[in-house]
Amino acid sequence: MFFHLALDHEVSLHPKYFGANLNEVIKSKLFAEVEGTCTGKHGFVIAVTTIDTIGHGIIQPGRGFVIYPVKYKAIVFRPFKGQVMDAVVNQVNDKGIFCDVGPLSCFISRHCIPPDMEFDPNGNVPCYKTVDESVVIKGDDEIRVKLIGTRVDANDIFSIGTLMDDYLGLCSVE
Amino acid sequence: MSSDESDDADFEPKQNNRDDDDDDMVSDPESEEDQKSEESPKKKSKKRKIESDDDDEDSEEDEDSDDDRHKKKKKKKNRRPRGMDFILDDVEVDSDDAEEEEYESGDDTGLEPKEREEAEKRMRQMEAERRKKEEKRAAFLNMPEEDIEKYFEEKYKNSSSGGANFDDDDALDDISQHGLLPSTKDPNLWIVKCMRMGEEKLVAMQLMRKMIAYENRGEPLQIKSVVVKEGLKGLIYIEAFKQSHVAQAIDGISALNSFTITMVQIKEMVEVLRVVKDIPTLKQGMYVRMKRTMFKDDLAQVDWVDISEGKVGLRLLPRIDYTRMRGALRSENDKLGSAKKKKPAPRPFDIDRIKEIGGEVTQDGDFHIFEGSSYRRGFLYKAFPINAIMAEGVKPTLAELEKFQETSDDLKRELELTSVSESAHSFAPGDLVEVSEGELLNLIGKIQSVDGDKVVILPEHEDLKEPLTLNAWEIKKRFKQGDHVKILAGRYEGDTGLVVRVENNLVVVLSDLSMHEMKVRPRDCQLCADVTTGVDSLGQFQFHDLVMLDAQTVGVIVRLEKENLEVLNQHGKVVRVKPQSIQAKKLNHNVTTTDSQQNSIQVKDVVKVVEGPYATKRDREDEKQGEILHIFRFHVFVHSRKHTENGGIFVVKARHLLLVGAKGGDKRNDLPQMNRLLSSPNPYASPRHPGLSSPAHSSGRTSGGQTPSSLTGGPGGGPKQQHARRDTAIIGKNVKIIGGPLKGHFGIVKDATETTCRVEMHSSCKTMSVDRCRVMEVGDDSVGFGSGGVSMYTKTPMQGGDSRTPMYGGSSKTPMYGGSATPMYGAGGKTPMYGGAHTPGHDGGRTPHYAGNATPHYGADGGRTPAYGGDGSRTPHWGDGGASTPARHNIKEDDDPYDAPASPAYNVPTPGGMNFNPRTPGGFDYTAPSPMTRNYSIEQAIPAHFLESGDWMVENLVVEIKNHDDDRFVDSEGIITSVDQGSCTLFVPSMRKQCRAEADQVVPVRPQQGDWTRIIYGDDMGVTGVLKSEFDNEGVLTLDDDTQRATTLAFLCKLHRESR
Repeated sequence: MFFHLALDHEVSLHPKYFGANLNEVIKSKLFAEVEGTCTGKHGFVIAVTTIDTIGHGIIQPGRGFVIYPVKYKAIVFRPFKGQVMDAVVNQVNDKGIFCDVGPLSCFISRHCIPPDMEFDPNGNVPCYKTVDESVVIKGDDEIRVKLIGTRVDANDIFSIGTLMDDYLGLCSVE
Repeated sequence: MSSDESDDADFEPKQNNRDDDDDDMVSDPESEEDQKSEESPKKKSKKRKIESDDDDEDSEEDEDSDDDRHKKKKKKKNRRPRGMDFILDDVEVDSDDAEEEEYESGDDTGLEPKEREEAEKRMRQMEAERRKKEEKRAAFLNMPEEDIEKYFEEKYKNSSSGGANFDDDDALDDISQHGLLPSTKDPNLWIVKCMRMGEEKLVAMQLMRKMIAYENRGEPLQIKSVVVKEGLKGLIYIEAFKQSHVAQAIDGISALNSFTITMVQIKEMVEVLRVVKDIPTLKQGMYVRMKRTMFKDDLAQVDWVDISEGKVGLRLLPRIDYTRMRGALRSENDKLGSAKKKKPAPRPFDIDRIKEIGGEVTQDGDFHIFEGSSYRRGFLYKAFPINAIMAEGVKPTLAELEKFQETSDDLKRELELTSVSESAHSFAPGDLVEVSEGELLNLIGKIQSVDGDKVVILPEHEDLKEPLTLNAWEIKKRFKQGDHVKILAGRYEGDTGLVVRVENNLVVVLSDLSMHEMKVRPRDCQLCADVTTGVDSLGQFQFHDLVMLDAQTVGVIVRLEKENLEVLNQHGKVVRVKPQSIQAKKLNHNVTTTDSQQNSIQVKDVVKVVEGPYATKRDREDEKQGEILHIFRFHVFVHSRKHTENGGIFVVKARHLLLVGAKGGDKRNDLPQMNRLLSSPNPYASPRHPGLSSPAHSSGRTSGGQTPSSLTGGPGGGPKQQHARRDTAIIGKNVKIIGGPLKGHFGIVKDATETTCRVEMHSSCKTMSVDRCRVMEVGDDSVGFGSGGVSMYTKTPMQGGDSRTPMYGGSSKTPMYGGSATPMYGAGGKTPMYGGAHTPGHDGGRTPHYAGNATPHYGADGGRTPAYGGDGSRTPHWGDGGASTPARHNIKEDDDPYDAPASPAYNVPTPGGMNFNPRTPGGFDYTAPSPMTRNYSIEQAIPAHFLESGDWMVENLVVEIKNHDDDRFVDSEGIITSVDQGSCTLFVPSMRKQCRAEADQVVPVRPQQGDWTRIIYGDDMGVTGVLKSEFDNEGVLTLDDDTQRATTLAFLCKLHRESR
């Protein structure tokens, strides 16, 4: 799920950047430091939309670095248990399917793949397919997956998903 | 409780009671009886009649049976007059486990007449009815022994065959129960301390003997009974009317302390003897172990349970003695059944063999009946008393379970489903549980609290809002897909993971750490609120550590279990070892080896597999690519996220690998190169030195490596140090091997360190490693590169300071120095060239010299790189940027970091505008064996590479544009307005325009006297002041604080006035 959140960040800046375009530097540093990161609480920060305030910088004693508190708004992506999402298959092996939902990696265990789909290690590409080959899931395919669990680490989120539900599985090719 | 009697005319309880009595007798003389009591009553009676004929019977017992009987008789006599039986009955109702021992003093005799009378009288009054029954019983007890036996035989004829015909009236109703409670008229219970811990039972025995002895003497003790409670150490209870009776009884028994006799309150008496029976939660199909009989310690499976009867039907492997003849074939020997003590081995019932030995087998349904026992499919089906089995903590071994299964599928299923009643449960508040038996079956709830075996759950049910208290064995843990659990027991103990699948009595957990799937039992799991990464260390060992398995074998830890480590050894096999058996942890941070293209690779390099078993087999398959975890000789342990086994670790030979971003790699883009620069030992990198880029470091004395990270995170920090330094000076040269087996061969040096070089032979197409001392450059008279180590390990102090003196230990090197420094050199007899505009004398193509104050130093100094003052992470001797050195380029080509355009820090623009002409040093040819004269006219200058790096640039510096895309700007002066990684934005006042310029397009403008100036190089880098005077090459700055600072003119750059 995506959220538009107001967040805080502290930008630590080297004194060499103090100058006319200090604000620009802070902004670009904020983008660099924040976008694409993941916090367990909020999820993946996709993009900073607006920078609300850049506070007064505080010089760090003994270092010369200055910390600017920045308040900004960002779009964050936070996966939830039970959420249904489209994913791109990254890797297929006998243990299951690894797929990516944007920055989130998701593992679909063999146990969570409908039992009528079998792993075929011998084909050209490793894939899961039904006996009649009406459905074949291989690398780079788009699948719809339901998250059944997430593991939230300090700076990453990992999820496991299932295909054992209605309308899950290979997205029909347009 | 005490002398009240629960009476039922039936003798069943009594029989039980006696059995119990027997069981609970602890002393040795009674042990045979113990055994006997396990036998079914029927057998018991039968046994008495036919002593030698029962082959199930322990012969021991046979031998002792006379004695037994004698005792029994005695017992019966003892028992006759008292009411104490009924206490036991009482207990029996509550519990049947109490360890109780009762010895009776003769009721009718020996008491003080008055007391006795009074007591008896009251009792009779109170319990007239039960008295009657007791009399009835007493009458029975007076029966002749034969009659008793007959009675018992009659009574238990059927019970052993499983048909229970216990009378129903053993369940007393509440009223009669209450009637049994002790009153003030009953004897009191006295607590006596037993001084010798653990001897309580012995003491009770002693008391009994004393009682018997005294009774025979006609002065019986006046106590009623002695109770020893199992598990209650140091105390025994004695039932008596008066304390003096107790004191009298224990007089002379040293273990008992007669001073500490305390009375138990009447209302507490029941509690004292209440036995909170933990009725084994026996369920059909569970495994139990036998406690007694010939099947002692055997595994058995519960067939049926009858708690009320205290009986359990078991299925177990029979122990039939097939060597003993039966029936007609029986010989005299067999009849005697003398000292045959050996337990027959357990094996399935074999009807053919039974017939062979003359046994009679009858058929009953699908049961075979042999000697009174039922057999089906090889197993014995037999009823045992519940207390003869051990139900808790039974962990059947695989072998045992195998014997119990008819097919291997059964076994598999059995393993998954085996329900073993654990002595300890692992429920914790917060667990989600499901009721697995009883009326509340399938009710789901959350545990609120746990108290021993009682678990309070809050049901998740719309109609049930109140917390319920349940027994631990009635509930089981429940997990859902996606739960994050921690594994509490078993092989995977301590691991955590996500539940992928839940089956009956099995959950599949995907380990967080290794992405393994683990099958575990629900009871071994626990919801893990805090997300941990599982076991990643066991003692000193951590996940992914390299360990020595033996002298030749190493491995990487791929899994840590409770007591085992799984180690992937260098041969690609996973072995399970105990931590103790590991010889040592190996540390090999600095090991390098070469990949398929002879690139040097080391730990943390990103490599891909190009050959061997892990190489890509199909086109579509992703290439195996990963990071090197460890290197052991030519085995490389690579960690790849794509690899699914062993936590992503696999082992390959170094020659099957290719460094990512290296020659021949098809992924040649900037990033891998950068990665390589950052991660692999860069032979050219120097230790970091005071970074010019940072004004904060103007003192120039900060420790290396502390360069503030730049905004875009460029390659700010090179490796701080490296041990195996490559010596590039020799690379590419033609050498002759002057020693060793290859003496006389010629070749070209492909790679070199301080000690060895790899020489490609002219004669054979091979590359050999040769000791540095054994090669001689062709056309060079000096022996051996590195001068036999003379200069190799000599430390050269490297100072960036303009007034420092490089020191040379090298005998044949000529140090150069510029300006004000005096070189020192150790012997060698060479003449140092003088600073300034002099030509350094070269010696055999050695040692390039700078006019600058730094000393380039090759091969010298055991791995240290001489550093330039202030120059961050640059290598000294390649200072003259554009002037490429043939040798270097021959070898490194595109990998040469200096040529990597993506790495601005290494891409050194040419400075200009100073006396220093950056083009000039190009004439320097390091490879040339003959000395070249360096021909430039400045005394001191900032090295071109440094200028080109742009690290000196700060805002407000005045620079001259040497060349620019836009010709208009060329040769004009500009003021730097912003700096961005090797390029800057300039304001050109003369044209009032802004432009961008790369660092190599601009040179600093020399200040004139009175100009505001900044030192952009050297130790004083970053200092600003006004140039007061200049003299020769020196200038004097007046700093803000009015101090004066002398510096080299060349190191100055004019600052724009406004910036002041």
